[in-house]
Amino acid sequence: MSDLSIIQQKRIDLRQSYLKHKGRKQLFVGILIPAVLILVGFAVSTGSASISFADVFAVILKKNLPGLNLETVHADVIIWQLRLPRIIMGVMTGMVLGSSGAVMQVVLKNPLADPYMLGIASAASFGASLAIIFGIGFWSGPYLVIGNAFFFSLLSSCLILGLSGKKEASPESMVLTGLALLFFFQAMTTIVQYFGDADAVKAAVFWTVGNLGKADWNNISILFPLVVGGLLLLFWRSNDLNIMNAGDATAKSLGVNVGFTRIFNMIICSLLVAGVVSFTGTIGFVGLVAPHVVRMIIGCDNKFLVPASGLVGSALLILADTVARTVMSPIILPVGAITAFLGVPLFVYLIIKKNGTNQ
Amino acid sequence: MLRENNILKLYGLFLLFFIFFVPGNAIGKQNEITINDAMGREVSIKQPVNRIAFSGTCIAEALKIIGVWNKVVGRGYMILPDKQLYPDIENLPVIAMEPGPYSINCEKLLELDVDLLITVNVPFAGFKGMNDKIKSRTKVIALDMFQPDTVKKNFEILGKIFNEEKRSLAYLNWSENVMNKIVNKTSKLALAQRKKYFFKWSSGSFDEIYSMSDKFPGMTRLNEILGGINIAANLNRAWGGTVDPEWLMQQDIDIIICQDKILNGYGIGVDNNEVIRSYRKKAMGLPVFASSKAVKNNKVYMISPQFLYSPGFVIYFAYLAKWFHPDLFHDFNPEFIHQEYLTRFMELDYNMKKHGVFVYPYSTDATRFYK
Repeated sequence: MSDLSIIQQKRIDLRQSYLKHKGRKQLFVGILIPAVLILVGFAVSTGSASISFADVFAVILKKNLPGLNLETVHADVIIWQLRLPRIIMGVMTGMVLGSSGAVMQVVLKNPLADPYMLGIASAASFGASLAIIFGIGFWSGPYLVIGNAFFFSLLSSCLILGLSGKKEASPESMVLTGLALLFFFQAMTTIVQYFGDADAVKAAVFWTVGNLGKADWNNISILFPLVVGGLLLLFWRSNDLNIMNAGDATAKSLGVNVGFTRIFNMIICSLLVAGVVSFTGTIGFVGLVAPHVVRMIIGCDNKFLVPASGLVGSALLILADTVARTVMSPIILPVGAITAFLGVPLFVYLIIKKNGTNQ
Repeated sequence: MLRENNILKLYGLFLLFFIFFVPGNAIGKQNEITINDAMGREVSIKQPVNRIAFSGTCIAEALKIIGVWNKVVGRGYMILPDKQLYPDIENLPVIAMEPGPYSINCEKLLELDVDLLITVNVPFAGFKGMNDKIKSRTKVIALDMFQPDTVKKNFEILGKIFNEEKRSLAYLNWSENVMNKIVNKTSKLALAQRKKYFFKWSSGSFDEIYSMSDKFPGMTRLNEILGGINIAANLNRAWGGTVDPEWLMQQDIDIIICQDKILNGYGIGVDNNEVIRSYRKKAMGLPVFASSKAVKNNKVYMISPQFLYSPGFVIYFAYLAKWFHPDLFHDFNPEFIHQEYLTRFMELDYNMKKHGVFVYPYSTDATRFYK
């Protein structure tokens, strides 16, 4: 066999190996999409009210058809006004937290980075506390709390980007500025809560614990364009993150504008996270654990990692919310507490499994 | 024969009228009433109201008072539901949970298919969001059953909804009579005769010194009714908060009212007052209170905070009036008023001389506890 044919054979093997590896990643994402849909189906048929599968699907499929005979009274309202909005909000929130977590871990070169690392959650809590306790805000009516949370989340992100931008937007300066703002807004929240009456403080504290119960179709219609637009932008730029994985110097030499990419991704992530956190409160752990779970299964290719993390985030959040709604029914636990209960064992299991494989 | 035919025709007409007209308009058709609830909302309610759910303890007592407890099919979350007061309470599905009365599990509520959800009117976020989710199927009203100035209007609404105006009026007459007895005496008090009081109000820690300012809803009215001066009236906070001990030690306090939440301290089913006695002793021993006039004169009183949020607020005022002005109310018996409330309105076969801890020390006839 000549050298040329050996090289050609190696190229074919390499290409086949790459295609096989890529196929595995495509398969994983391909499996995740129906898995999320199945979970949505499971979640929509589970809840405090006992509604049969037949009724659930009859309500969904025949929404606009007259003469619907349902076994459970008010099943149509329960499904369309109560369950579906919170499940769809869960899907969107999970997508945002998972994808943003994956992007931020790369951009900040920090495996512990999560969407709340830049003080977004604490700034949102401060804004919400200000609105709940003193009624102070930039909006009025039903959007007082949501608007305030969104404004302060964005303010925190702008401050970080503005301050760290002077240091060429290095990951270290972003993380340190983020931590400083996190503590600053936490202190401000404590002071606001100190002067509030007990019931208002209680409401403010409960707001900070993530909850999908506030979701309705109106909120979803506001959030939907932001989430879809933001996620598409993240997926579109995810290839640049692959090059940045090789280091800033290598990325620069390959023509990637590292500073711009970092700032661009941070702006999109901040907008997305500020949007969802304003409607749901702080739902922890999803943004941290989902990218790690995906990375352990399909590796670090950000073209697949970012969307797959979003899908795993959605799955995790829907599952957690279903548990939160049913485990102590009729009491609905805050989903923010359940995500950690479900995520931690999964995370630990994958770490142990990975260590076992490496040995 | 002709006459018989006419009689038969008349009988037939009457029968037709009865079959088609009367049931359609007087028996079968539901009556609809419109009320203005405590939030100022206009709500139309179809009668009869047969299935109700409630959130808020004060609503539970109000439903008992007007005799419609048997219509309750869903209840708010109560940390320690009083099984003696509501024997079947544990069998009722919970529809509301923390952090407030408007945190309703709407799914559960809709499953129960209630005609009406009755909740409380409190400055707490979430009412609109909750109502928006269920208003297409369930009517919601908010009532205020524990404020002296609004209780009359709200009990009248409740009586009208359930066609129980008589029972509602009986309670209102009783409570008005008690309140008048108090106000008739305290309203004549000069400023110098008014008692300087301090409310100690915490979530259950004797060394936690939390109080309410006069900005707290109902506090200025409370001062008027009881003939008192709140020494924490101008606390620099919205409604109240933790008090600076140094400031407190400089105040001239005639009487301390401790209305802390104390686990297993108060209740119909609590027969031993050891917890409350020990709590009072510890609170009186705190440096911040130890040198106060109130402690030196043994004018420190314990009362269950439960009275504050129920139609039983009348009992609260009765006890406090006696403690504030014992000379003025020497012929006034709060324990008798309390017993009457439990027997007549809560319909309990219960003897306060043998059971229950609600206040400490009792002002009269305290034979059980002073033995």
